[in-house]
Amino acid sequence: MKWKALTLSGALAVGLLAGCTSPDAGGDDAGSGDGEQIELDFAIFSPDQEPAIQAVVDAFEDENPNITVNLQVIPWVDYWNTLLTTSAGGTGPDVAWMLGAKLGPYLEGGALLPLDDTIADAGIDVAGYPEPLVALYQRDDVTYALPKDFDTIGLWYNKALFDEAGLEYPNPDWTWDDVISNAQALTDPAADVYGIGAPLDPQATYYNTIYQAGGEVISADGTTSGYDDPASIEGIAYWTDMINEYGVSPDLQSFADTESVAQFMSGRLAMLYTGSFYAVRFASDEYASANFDVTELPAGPVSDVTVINGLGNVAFAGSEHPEEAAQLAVFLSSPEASQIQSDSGAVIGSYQDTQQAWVDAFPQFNVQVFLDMVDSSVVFPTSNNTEAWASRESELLTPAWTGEQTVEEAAGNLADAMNEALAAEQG
Amino acid sequence: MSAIRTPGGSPVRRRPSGDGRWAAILLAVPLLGLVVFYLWPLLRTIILSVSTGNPFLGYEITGFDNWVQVLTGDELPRALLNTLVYAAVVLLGVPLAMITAVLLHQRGLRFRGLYRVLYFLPVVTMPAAVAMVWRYIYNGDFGLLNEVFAAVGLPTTAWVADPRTALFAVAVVGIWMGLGTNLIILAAGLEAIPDSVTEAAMLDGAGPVRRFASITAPLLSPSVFLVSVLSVIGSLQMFDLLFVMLGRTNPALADSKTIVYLFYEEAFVRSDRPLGAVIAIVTLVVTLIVTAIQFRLQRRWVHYA
Repeated sequence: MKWKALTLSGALAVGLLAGCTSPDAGGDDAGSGDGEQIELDFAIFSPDQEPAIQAVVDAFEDENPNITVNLQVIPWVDYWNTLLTTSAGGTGPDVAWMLGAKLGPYLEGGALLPLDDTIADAGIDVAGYPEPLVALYQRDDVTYALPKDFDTIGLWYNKALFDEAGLEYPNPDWTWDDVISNAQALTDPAADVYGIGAPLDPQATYYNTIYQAGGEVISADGTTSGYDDPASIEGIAYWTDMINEYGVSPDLQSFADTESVAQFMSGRLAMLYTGSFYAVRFASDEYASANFDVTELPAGPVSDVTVINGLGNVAFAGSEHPEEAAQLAVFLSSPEASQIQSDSGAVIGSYQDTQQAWVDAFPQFNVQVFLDMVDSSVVFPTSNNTEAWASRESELLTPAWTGEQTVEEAAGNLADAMNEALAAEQG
Repeated sequence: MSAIRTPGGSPVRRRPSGDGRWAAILLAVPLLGLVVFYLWPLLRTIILSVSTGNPFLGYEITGFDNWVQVLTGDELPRALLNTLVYAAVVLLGVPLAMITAVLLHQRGLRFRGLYRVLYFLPVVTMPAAVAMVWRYIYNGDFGLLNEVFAAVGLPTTAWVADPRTALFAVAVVGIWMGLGTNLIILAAGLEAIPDSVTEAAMLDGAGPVRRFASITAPLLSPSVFLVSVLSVIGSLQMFDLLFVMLGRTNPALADSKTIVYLFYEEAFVRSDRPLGAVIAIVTLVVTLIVTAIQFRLQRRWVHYA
């Protein structure tokens, strides 16, 4: 049991973090107080997007020759802790990627710069961004980030498996019932093929169907859980039934061993609800590129909405150059930056009319649907301390997926835990 | 290497040099490290555990609410139990290491060096890489282990996704990874057993089993004790294998979570540092208690020659 180097003693780990939070160290090491040459640190977590983001940064530096931007890629597993710890300790970056679900502690701590004036100075029309995503980064009418990109969820399917079963491909008029009946026809235990994948994945699966059933994850004012709403329960049961009632999806154990996307790409699943963000991976895989396509999400009892999410760029109040940091944060989400990112094919740029290049990058898939669905989208649900309850979702919903508990029971337990966390966050 | 020996082999004795100032200075250096990197963080952790706040606004001491929350919650007892079960299973690796060490120590064994390298390889391999390979072996749909089990008619399952087997499946990897280090310590212990004792037993007609039970095992017991203590302390801190082999949406996670995993969830997933601090201190206390029990029990079975 000699992997001590990795398993820092718990006491030590927390202690070191606590020790790091004394706010005496200066932020930037640029060292030039004359306003001649300014250095800004900018943190992101995606190596895949690094080339596109570097191109955006280059464009910013061309426009602002007195500013040098150091782009830092911090791996996802370390990103949020590094960002929280270093920015709280005063050694963090000047500008960084942010997710709506992670925003709460930063706002509560007053750690972010308001960007409204800088946005106005840059002459950006905020109406050009998907409205729910703009609101995601606003509190009390103050904007702390603009969305730089977005992703929506679609129904991906394997044409080869539909052809073999002699079925027509899914189309935008499909309903939940169509998904279930087709999944039943596609499931072939002898060939180890399942009609659909039903992983326990909030953004890709049950968040969408909760809203499609007329339910909600969290109340509009962010104070109570929506998990005990009968409509929400119906939205979750759609997925658990796929496994426990209809047997058209592998079970949760199978997805724990081999993630749903990998099973889909190996031809084991005929359909999968997942995001626009997988277009790149599917296009670079020979089998997936030749056989996969995508359509809009099938309609539930109430609607056919999709969950929309997107990254924002925030600037930190602790920056030594707040003005320039705010300029950089706004530029990174500007229409120009949106265009550069869409051109790269890595993500859908957030600004209207800059997205065609992203669609054109995937001629083999009908990815236009991801843009079409923006008009009927709900924003990824968050609260001031999202992780406090979101981190309980998987654990408490698992018994519903494995069939040990009814969905009512599991969702009720989750609602209780979530309401407790939300009450704590109200103080 | 040449050493200068004094006639008769006895080392030159120096007179104690007065006030011991040099000793104090030299001892202060590591002591400084201990204070800066261990005692100070420990103190901060204790203070943090009775505080509430936000990383940006700072933390204020507010009392024992965090302690009440953790100690009365339903997650800690379960995690403690899982951790102790894991530690107990991994402890089975000690007799395994003992037998292996004795077999490797046999006189006239060919390729001894090769065997030692092979057994030590898992220790110098990255835990993350090890875990990925074992994940494949344990995979419920395509795994190697299920192929073998199915071929000989044994039951199959998704080993690391089935709540009944996950903790044990991970413990097997823990044993396998720890075997090399345990072997090194035990091999050193075996080398220290004088040949004369073993030879005397042979002359008295003791067979291999009797020699192991009456000579080797008792004389090796101090090393076995050391290995056991280190093994248990390592097991109580188990996190990485669980993190890499199970993952966050694993249906077996709730039944397999260890204390340090719980600590990780509170401190780093939910970013609740004070609650994390409470769990960290609980981990420390549990480790102290378990180690103290081991030291108490050793009086009954460890023979210092």
